[in-house]
Amino acid sequence: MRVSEIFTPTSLIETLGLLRKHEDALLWAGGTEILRLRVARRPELPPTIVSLDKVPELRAIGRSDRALDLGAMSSLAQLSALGEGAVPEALAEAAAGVGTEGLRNLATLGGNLLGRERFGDLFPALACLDAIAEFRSASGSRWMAVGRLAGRDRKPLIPTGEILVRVRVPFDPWDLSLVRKIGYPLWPAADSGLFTCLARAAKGSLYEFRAALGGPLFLRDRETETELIGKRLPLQRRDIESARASWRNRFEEDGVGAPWIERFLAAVDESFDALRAGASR
Amino acid sequence: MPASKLADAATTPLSELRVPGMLHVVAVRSPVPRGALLGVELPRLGKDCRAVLASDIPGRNQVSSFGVAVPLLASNRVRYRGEAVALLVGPDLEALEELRDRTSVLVEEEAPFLDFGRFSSDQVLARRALRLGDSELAFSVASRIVEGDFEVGSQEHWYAEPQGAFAGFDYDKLLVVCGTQWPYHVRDTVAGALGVPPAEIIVRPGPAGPHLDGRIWYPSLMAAQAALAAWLSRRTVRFILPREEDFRVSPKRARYRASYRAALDGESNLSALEVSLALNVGAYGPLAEELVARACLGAQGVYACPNLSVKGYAVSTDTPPLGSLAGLGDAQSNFAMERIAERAAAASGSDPVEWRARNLLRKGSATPTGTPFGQTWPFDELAAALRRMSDFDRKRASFSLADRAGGAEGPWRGIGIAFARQLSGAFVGGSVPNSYSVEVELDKELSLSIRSSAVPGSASVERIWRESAAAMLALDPSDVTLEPPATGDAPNSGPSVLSRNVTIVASLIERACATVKRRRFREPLPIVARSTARVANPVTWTSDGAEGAPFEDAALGGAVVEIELDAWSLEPRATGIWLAVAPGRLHDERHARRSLENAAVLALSQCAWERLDPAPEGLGVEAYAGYRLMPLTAVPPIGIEFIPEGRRAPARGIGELPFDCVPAAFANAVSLAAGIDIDALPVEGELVAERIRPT
Amino acid sequence: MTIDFILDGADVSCRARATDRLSDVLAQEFPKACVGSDCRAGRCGRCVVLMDGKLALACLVPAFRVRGAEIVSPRAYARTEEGESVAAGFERAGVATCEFCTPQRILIAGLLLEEAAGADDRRILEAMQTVQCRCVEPSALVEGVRAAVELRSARKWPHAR
Repeated sequence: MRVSEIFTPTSLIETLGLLRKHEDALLWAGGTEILRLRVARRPELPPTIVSLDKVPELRAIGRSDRALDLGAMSSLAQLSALGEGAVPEALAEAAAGVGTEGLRNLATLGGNLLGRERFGDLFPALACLDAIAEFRSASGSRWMAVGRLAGRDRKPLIPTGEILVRVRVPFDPWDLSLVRKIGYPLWPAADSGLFTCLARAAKGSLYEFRAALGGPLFLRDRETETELIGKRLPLQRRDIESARASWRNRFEEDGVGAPWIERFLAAVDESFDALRAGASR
Repeated sequence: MPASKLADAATTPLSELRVPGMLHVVAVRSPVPRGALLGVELPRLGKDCRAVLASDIPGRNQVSSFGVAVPLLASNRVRYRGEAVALLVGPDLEALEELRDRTSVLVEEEAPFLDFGRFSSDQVLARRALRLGDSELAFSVASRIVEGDFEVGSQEHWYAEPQGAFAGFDYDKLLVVCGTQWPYHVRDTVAGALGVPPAEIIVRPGPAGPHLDGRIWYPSLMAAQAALAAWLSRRTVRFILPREEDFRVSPKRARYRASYRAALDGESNLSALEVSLALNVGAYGPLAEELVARACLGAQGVYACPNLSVKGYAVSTDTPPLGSLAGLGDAQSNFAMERIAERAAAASGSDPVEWRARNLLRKGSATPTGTPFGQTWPFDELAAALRRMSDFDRKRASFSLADRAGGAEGPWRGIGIAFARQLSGAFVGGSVPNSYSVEVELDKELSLSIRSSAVPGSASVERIWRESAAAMLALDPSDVTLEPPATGDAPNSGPSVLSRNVTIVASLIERACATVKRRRFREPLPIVARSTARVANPVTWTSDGAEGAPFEDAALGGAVVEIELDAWSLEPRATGIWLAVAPGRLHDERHARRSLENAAVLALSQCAWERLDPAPEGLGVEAYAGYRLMPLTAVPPIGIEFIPEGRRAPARGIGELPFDCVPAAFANAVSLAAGIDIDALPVEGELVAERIRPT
Repeated sequence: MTIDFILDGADVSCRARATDRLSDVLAQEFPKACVGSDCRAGRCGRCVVLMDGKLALACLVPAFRVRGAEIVSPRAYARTEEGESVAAGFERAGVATCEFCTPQRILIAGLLLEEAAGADDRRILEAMQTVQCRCVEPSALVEGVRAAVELRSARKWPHAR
């Protein structure tokens, strides 16, 4: 059996150098998803593995007035442990709901965000929060919106030859922050995912509205969200019906299966209910 | 290997039991579900490894269980994917696994029997029938007929530790350690396989954990495989399955299907039942007879039915052996009958509890064997306790009003009630003798030793035994010791199933102590007394019926389950469970309460979470990855009340009651919430969604 | 590769493949630690350990991540003063966990006792969910942890009532 060669770089520059040299190297963040899905005593792994745990740049957590910077190697347990007010509520809640405690201490933000087969639970939350991610490669650094890590086919789109360094999450005040986990809570499967809805009101109208569902596919439609923005609160039945129809059409056009569309619509219904309850307070 | 090394075998997990120089075992398994075994092509094994094939077995190549033989290693045919055809034995487990991966099993594949919806007579391993009165006549004059088809899926035990066994030489004896419910069965199987007298084998049961009746006979098979490896290599071996392999090849719960027709008379009471039921018992069907017998006896639930026609079949298919999981077949039929009761009550406009009370099996009503029922169950008290604890009537009325069809807003909620009985601990299938013994010895220091091969399974059961013995002889419980339940030293106390530890074994200990008490001041110490229960087989089966009194000393219990359908997924989630049980004499209330609560959690998990894909021809990694236990955080509050039965009532077996009545209560609740009939378990949100959301 | 780490307070060293799971390394090379390696999928929790002070599923940790780490096995933890006080709490509450999960449950309960905020019922069950053993009902685990908390505060503040 083939033995993998492990590199443990201690700086970002060294990591990038290794990546250039070994294009097919497997980047090992927490590794929980890699090992979870290979139950053999000796898991089949690529010949080269680059372990990211000793790269200090990937571990840094910092904050300003406007945003929180999270190193890609922050553990999910760290995210939920930063405490109320230090992390946007939706992100803390999404992180706290992943797997069990023994897993959350190992699993990382980067690993969860860059799942190849499915979207991790942090993805819809970060996308709704308008988080941006910094990727580094030998040729430099670039920032991109987290939401762009979903392809047109609504499946994960993972950049290659680059490394996710950190994620910047803006602190915006939200009147509604709703996170709902779908499916079995203890580990992901084909029918599991996470829904996030964020909304903000101003002067009696809907000022901001975002709703996304991540799982095997990523369900979000900005045009429908835009249509809702500016509507008076509480939302009229016809506004809600029109938004629902718009989401349904958009997702059906893209070939999303009926169960996922139903889940999404049930989730936005709950969000609208929560908005109404908030407005009536 | 000196025996002292294994002094704590009874409490040490198998994976932690090891001695220097110990060898390991891996199994080479059939890649296909059915066919003629042409041969096994082994790679070069090296000098320290060896293979064991069926032809190497010096004695009998079988474990016999309830009259059925299962091969230890397939010899000329394979009957399920994953059936062991050879063992590889050696010092390095990883090297063995690599050798196994390079081994080819040559099979001339045949089309497997996988569907038990349609089966031929040569697939029927056991059949049982019950006939009482004239059901045809009753149906012809019935004022209403209620029907239903029911299904209960296959499920996994999810042991605390996968199945395995340890075997090694202790001077001139072969010592076997495994987590078994039935040490003497292990001993006899191992002795048979090696072709040696049973006394040459000593079995020490290791911890079995929460086994859910999955360790009745399979540990004997694994012990015999480990013993063969030890015997042929003259070394100590440990054979333990990785969890994923255990999931694929060890027995699961038998799948169940039944068609029910119930006739109601002019007062809407049950006048006749026609039931046809089948259990998929997989390859060999090692518990076929007992399962089908119990399913048939359970077909009418706790109700009186003067005209009865029940036909039951245990059907063999080419899947891994399927058998017991928390009960031996009673639970599935009770689920079906309680759904019928619910429907009968609804069809006749009766209150569900009131209909059940009216139709309850009462003292003097005919049981399915024709024998009059001899007990009076405290049904009214039990039902009243359940209604009070759960606020059943108010909730049911309020949940019934929600108009789902009219688009009423969720969350949709439901509440359901169901009742069940647990038979006494005797086997009823027909061919297994019900004979058990325990022995006690009062020595000169006035210490009492209890010897029994029954596996207590928990500290509470040990305490019950010790305390009841101490009370009989006016000793301090600390002066009572329980000897390790090894074969040879301890008499055969039968398998630890069906709550026998607190019924039969506890009462045998008390009887033996009573004998000691009688002889106490007449004879010199030490005094040894043995008590044996030869429970006459409570049922004798004929071709179309049965005789006997299987319902004697049955315990009654009931459950209410309240649920809510998840607003999006429509997955039913329990929000409350209440149990009321008539336990007879209670040895230890806290223990009983905890056991019932734990059983309720497991039963609920089986109803709402644990699904094994219906393609059992070979459970793959996907089925393993997809198998879900109920998370601890999803367990609802559980209320329990015991209903006293008077001072002379015996201690009854109650540990299985939650498995018998929670499923139906759950299905009744989901049916109410969703406005559809839930007749198959486990229940999944997708299924509910498909049926209530117009497409 | 050679892996040096601290196991139950002692410096240890062993040879293993870099991608072997910590659970397998412990089960094979350090049997006295009594760490299981059953499911290799992060599910059953028989392999939980403390890794650098945090609860970790050892079957999801590759050997190359263990160099220099401090690992505490549940058995060793159960023998510490903290572990023994948790066990006493479990016993007082009559919690009958089985031979397979007791040390892991004690370890998790011990960690819960360290939490500043004090764990509520949900938090207790949330943490206990790392171990999937069917031997004990959730309410007993909650009672066990509560009893352990009481015992510990009685020891810390013997005169308080």
